[in-house]
Amino acid sequence: MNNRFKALPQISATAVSLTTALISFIILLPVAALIHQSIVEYLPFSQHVIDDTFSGIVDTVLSDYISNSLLVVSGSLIFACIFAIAPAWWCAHYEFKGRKYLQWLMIFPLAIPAYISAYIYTDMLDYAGPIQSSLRLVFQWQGPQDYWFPDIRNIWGASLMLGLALYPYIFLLLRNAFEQRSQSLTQAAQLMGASERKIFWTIHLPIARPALAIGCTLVAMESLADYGTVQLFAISTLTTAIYDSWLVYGSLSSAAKISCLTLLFVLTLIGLEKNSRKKQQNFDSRSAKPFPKVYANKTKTAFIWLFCSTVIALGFAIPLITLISYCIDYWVENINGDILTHSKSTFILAAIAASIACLLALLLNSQQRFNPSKSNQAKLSLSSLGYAIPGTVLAIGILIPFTQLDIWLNTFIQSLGYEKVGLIFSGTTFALILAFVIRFSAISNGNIQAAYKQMPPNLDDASTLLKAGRLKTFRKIHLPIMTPAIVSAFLLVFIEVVKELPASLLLRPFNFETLATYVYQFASDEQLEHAASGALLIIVVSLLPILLLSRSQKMH
Amino acid sequence: MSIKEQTISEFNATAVEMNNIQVAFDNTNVLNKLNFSLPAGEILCLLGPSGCGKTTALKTIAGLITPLQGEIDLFGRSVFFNSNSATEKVTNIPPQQRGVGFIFQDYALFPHMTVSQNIAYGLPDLNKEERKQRIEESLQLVELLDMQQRYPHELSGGQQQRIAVARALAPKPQLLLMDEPFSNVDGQVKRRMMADLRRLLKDHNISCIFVTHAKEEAFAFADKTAVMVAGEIAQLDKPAVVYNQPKSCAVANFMESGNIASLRNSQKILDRIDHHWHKDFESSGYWLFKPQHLSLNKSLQNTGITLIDTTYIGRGYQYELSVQPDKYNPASTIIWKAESEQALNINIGDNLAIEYLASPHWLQE
Repeated sequence: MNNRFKALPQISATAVSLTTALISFIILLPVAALIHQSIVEYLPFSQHVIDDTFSGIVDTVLSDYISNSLLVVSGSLIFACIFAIAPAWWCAHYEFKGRKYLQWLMIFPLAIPAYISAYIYTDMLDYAGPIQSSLRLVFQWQGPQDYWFPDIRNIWGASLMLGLALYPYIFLLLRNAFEQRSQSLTQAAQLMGASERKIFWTIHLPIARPALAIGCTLVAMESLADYGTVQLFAISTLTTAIYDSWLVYGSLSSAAKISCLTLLFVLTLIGLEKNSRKKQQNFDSRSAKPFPKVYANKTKTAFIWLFCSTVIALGFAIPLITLISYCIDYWVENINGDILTHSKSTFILAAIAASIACLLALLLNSQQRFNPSKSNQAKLSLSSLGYAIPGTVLAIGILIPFTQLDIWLNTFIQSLGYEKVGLIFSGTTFALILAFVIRFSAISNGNIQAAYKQMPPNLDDASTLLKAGRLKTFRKIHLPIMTPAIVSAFLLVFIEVVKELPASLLLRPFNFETLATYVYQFASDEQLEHAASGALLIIVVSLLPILLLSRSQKMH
Repeated sequence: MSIKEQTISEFNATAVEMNNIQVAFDNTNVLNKLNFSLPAGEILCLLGPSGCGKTTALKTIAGLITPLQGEIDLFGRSVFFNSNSATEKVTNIPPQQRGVGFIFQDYALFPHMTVSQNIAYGLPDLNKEERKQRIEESLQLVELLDMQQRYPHELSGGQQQRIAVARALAPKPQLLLMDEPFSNVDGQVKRRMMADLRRLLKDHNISCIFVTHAKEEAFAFADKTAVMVAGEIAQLDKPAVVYNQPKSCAVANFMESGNIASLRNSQKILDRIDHHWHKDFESSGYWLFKPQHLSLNKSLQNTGITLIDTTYIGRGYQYELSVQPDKYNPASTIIWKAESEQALNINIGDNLAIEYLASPHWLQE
């Protein structure tokens, strides 16, 4: 009944339906492979030998992996909330000099990958680094026994680095929620004698709770999935354990089991967030009128600027300036041909992955638009699931089935009397592109879904009544209206691919580097100075969505 | 062939014939055996409260919603037929081939196309020259010839509505369907738009069905009005007939035709009212008392009728009365309205004697 234009000739409807079903299958495949690999050896009649690497890990270090992961996640959340909540409120509630610039500058740290900051601060705060050296010079201290200096190569240091890189998620969502707060609720509270502080704690913050929950979930998921920072600080977490199980112990089975455990944590996080969102509608009391901002006095303005600029300096300016100075100091190493080669291959890879992700999003969303059904909606939701899977977990999930596929293919080709073709699925950029598409389809889907939601369904009906078929409606109405959304979806996926590290580290073919793996390799060899230009390139590319976002908000 | 010449050929035919149309969403009936017909060249208003199924009926005629069963003929041509019998073939002509123009509540103008591109969209079969001519012809009809290169967001609400009309009429539809076309404009502009559009439809003899929940629009624009209640047509007639002689309480209630009293209450109320008509309480049903025919006078006795509010309504005064048919049962109290052109010398709380100056209208239930 709800089937729009049911009577139209179903132009290759079956083909579209089959394609979308195939997409859903491929997206589900890694998770299914992980579960299968984790339990296959215990199945009756299984020919797999029971791998005791995992039981060894369980007996010795698994509890450390779990507790370290939970500590890093909690620490990152604490730091992110400290850096984000108050500034979000100030930027939404007060009017002060430079507020418009400050609220954009506060998002800039999102462009700096946490492992780059981690490297820079380790270098800076090290015994031989500029800070300790200057202190020794000023106070005439002779050696480390003469003074105490904090060490950041620990869980709290990693949490601080992740908190600095991820707090903008909470800041953005919360500022938006605060901006939309209801004027009448505030006035009602004021008339009942509540102070500004009480109104914030009892009215505004509880109403913004869903936004805070989404922001915190994003920060928690990103910090749980982090590989670069914790590995640099030598903290063993679930992600580093997956990496080590596979690359150090060569045990795919224990990598799969730890991956399943990590997925369980992710699912719990999503469950908690969904639960908190249940009440969102009750709390949704947006004001139609923009809330007039309160003018901050000079002292308050100075305090706001001091706090925020410290955060921006720590999260953005100091790492950026340091990278620029590395670049200048090690100019020759930084302009070598490797950077150009890796940038080119990264950008090509990112463009391919982003194009595929956008095409899939268009296919799935247009199918749901023309044929709204529960199964099409399920395919759409399924294709967005990948974002929740940490890169390392996803990489293992892809390696398992595609390595097997390669083995089967080579055996088959050999049986025909031909030479082996090699690992064409798991050992080429195919696996990388697949991982990127699965992981970042949620972004392209989200953008295109939002664009479709904004497009009144009456436009489709009008087009049909004006004698247009589905294809013409899609080509002449949907595509032109959605062009900005498609462009931004492409750019966002492109940027995420350029920044992606953990899956790239595990899935890159032999002798192939992306910008992120190239930079990370230098960082882990304590030679980031030589790849500073690559790091700067990642940052510049990552700043693009922030500039796009600021432009689109200005347009609104 | 101009729009006028083309549509004139359909004169005297039946524009729309709907029989036993049933539509359900999620197993809930939205249209329940809907039947009506519309002679060619007439304007029919589907009137009813929100959720009564009027927009569904409109979209069903257009082919945007497929009924479970029933029959729809447009100008004698069967566009939908499904009797749910295994032996009879199902007919379902797609929306593109039904030859109807549709004006949406939000006009649904394509935001990324200019006015002329919007109109050209529905004319894919014409060559460039013919298309240009048709666009100009349609824009001339709505007097917006100079707006061809504008985008929808550069037009006012009234202009957008007229472009939507031009776009819908450009392919020379046999029937124009409009979903709450005047709901986004108010006051003077709305009255002017209704008058212009009605003249345009009448000049070109275009049949039209439009949907609204505002009875004033039905009075001003339609030749006939069908009041829909819960997926069925409760009454279809000229607007004045539907308003003055509603067939049922539901219609009278929606049209705000007057005060309704059940037979039991009427009997007791009538005992308190001076009246001049023959009472017949043999059959069941309801009486409808028009506010403008009620005459009010202050009474020194306890009549059980009290004035509770007075409101100035422009053309006169409206009085709200508390009528208690049974003094032993306060729960039986009902509220009646009376109207008078002059201010009456009565005050809130006064006991009133009522005289009804006409014959009340009998409603069958």
